[in-house]
Amino acid sequence: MTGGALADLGLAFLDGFNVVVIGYFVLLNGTYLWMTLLAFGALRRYALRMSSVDPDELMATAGLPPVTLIAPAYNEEPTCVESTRSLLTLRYPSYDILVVNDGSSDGTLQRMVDAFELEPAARAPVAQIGTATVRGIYRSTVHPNLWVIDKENGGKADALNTGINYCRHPLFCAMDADSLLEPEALTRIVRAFLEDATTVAAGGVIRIVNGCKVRSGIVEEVRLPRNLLARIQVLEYLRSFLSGRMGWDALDATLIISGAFGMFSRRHVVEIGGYLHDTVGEDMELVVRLHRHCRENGEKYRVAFVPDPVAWTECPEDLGVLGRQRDRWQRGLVESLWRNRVMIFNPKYGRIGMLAAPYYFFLEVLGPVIESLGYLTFVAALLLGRASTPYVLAFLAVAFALGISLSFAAVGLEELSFRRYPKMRDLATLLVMAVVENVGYRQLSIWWRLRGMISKLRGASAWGVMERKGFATDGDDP
Amino acid sequence: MLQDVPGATTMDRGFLLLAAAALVLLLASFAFAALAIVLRIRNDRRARRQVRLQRRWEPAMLEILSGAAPPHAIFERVDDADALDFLEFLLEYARLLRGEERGLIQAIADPYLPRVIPALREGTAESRGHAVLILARMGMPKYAHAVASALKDPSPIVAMIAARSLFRPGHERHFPAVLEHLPRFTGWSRGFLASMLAGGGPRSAPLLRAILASDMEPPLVRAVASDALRELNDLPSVPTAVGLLEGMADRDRELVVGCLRILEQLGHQEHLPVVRPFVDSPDAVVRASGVSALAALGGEDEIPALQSKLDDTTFWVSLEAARGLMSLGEMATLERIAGSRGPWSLLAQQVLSE
Repeated sequence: MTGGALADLGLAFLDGFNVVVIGYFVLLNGTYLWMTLLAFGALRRYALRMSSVDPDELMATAGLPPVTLIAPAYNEEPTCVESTRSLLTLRYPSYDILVVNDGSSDGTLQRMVDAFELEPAARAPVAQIGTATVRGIYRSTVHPNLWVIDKENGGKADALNTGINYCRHPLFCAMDADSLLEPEALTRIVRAFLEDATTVAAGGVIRIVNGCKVRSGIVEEVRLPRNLLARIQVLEYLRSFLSGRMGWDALDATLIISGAFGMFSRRHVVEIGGYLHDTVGEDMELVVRLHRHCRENGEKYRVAFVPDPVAWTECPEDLGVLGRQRDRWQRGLVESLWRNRVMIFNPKYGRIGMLAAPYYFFLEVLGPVIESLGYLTFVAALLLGRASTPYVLAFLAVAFALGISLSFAAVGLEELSFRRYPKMRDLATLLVMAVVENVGYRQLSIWWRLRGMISKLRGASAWGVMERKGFATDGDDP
Repeated sequence: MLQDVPGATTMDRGFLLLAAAALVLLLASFAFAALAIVLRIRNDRRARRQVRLQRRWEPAMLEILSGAAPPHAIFERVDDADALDFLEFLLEYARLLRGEERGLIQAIADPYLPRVIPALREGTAESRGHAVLILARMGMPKYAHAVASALKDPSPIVAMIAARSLFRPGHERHFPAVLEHLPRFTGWSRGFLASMLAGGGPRSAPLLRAILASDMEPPLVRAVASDALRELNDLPSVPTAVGLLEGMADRDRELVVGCLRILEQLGHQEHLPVVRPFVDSPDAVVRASGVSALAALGGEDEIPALQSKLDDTTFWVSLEAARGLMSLGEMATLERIAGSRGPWSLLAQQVLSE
């Protein structure tokens, strides 16, 4: 092949790839817009529905099933006591708390022993999912529903499986030890199981606690964080939960339940062998596998997203930690979908197979690759005269405007439904963040996700360290 | 349209398309931002209005509740345009108050409730449900028929709000209507439904017993009825449960478990022969319920049977057996197992420490 022919081939590839990028762009953002529009209707209906349900009346109902909260803790010394206190303040008639100390190398266990007057206790396992060795079981002498299981380190999935083995109730709630649940979170999330007995899993909303005023494990005043990165993440979470997950739930195609707060039917999770150990995306993988299991066994089931039970969590405030977190999320996404790739475009799996799984695989997994290559090919096309500068600028303007529209819409959804940020200044800040994130943050985000893909291909399985600052805020007791 | 632009090349058309898209999206983003701001302003204004109305109504309300003023004293403070807000304001009180004070709230609400009636037939399921709730909380028994008609609402949520409101003491004449619609609610959790039915009080028991005994009802509905009867401590349901267990073997697991639980809670030693076959059921859930009932009804004679169940393949059966031994005072066996290195050592320790 001559040099000229090669050059022609290269240019044809360039043109072709630009078409792919534009196609990807249209599909991805079309889906985002669709989900946002669905979410507007669904959230409005949900808010109206809640006005007909009185949580106090529900609380008084003897039919509320007992629940076990499983909180894996690894080196959570700064936050474990406060987050456990928040769990003890939950308004729910009957629940156990199992804090699983996953072989922490810091003083997590001792802090728990001191704070809650723990003593060794006997508790037999109910299920036999394989886990690392349990070293001891403790029970609080002041809060009889609080248990701490001390085990050798095995990772978050292993700790959750240990909790499941010791869970005696039909429902368990998986959460992060550093998350703060709102007092009515359990009552609200359990409704999904009351209203539809076929529900096997339900996820709640995760919100960012950075900047909020927290006292005794309860978020007393919701405020935006001061840190720019954290502020952008507040907006990201609004977009992800109120727009994305609400939209997918409206289609009955919820594929992700955050590991920070989700409730599950114990029987179903035990049936599929619990969480997988060898993935960093064990939360998503579990939900995908639950879908697969129920579909393959012809079982009527539902996986729900409930928008008003809230878990507050600390988000990273520096680029390094945030990058590692996003890297891990991307690896988790890739692993979950790759393991269950049989579901993609498989009508046997219904909407999950035909809509949700293909969306996550082709648009979210491959997205960073296409997007980053898109930036490069656009530059190449510009340099080689295959695209005019105004054309590229117009395309970037579309991308920019669309990104801003979706974020503004997410802020609108928050105003329509929960209005957690009461100050007008907070609203203005969120709107500004919707513009700011497009310059730099969005590109960095693509890079982190791309890095996650690369490290997945290289076989990396590290979690990365999240530095905890604790929940005390300005003017509060530590 | 863009293809019709005279002399436009493909690139030009692409550019025009992109520029138009950018413009549309820019306008959309302005619209979304404006929506967020308008919603905020509207919500703030609504909140301020709520506060203003509450300040106007609250003092009069407190006077009425303390007996210092009659119910109609507040009417002059309620403008016609604020009637629905007033009902929402009253609903909060109705949620908190019981007895005589709830009666006062109903008297205050009465002139405004006809405004809610049209909402029973219009709008979304959620707004219909809210209208049912308002009438059920503040308009009973006057609007009981309107609430009962909501049992036929196409939305299960609206029907459930109506059912929960009607299955309460004092509304006995609507119980048959609610029970007739019970199969519609079998998607809800069994415990929740049983709790709702038990909320009807002892006067609902004959109807529930009839459901439990009826072959025409779905097994799940009968199982829910059995749970409700147990919650009501309904002794007359024992013969029904016995009769069902005698003729049923393991056919309907949920119903068998429901009947065994009735016997466990309300039965006597004479029912042991009915319970014993289920202790060896191939279904672990039935077996666990059988063991639990055996321990509750039996005496020392049942200790060997319970001991044999300690080695059951299912944890829950072993747990019930261990708890049964504990309740019968058979500590020696449990202590021996707890001190051993056997597989049930931890279970025995747990039960001993419970």
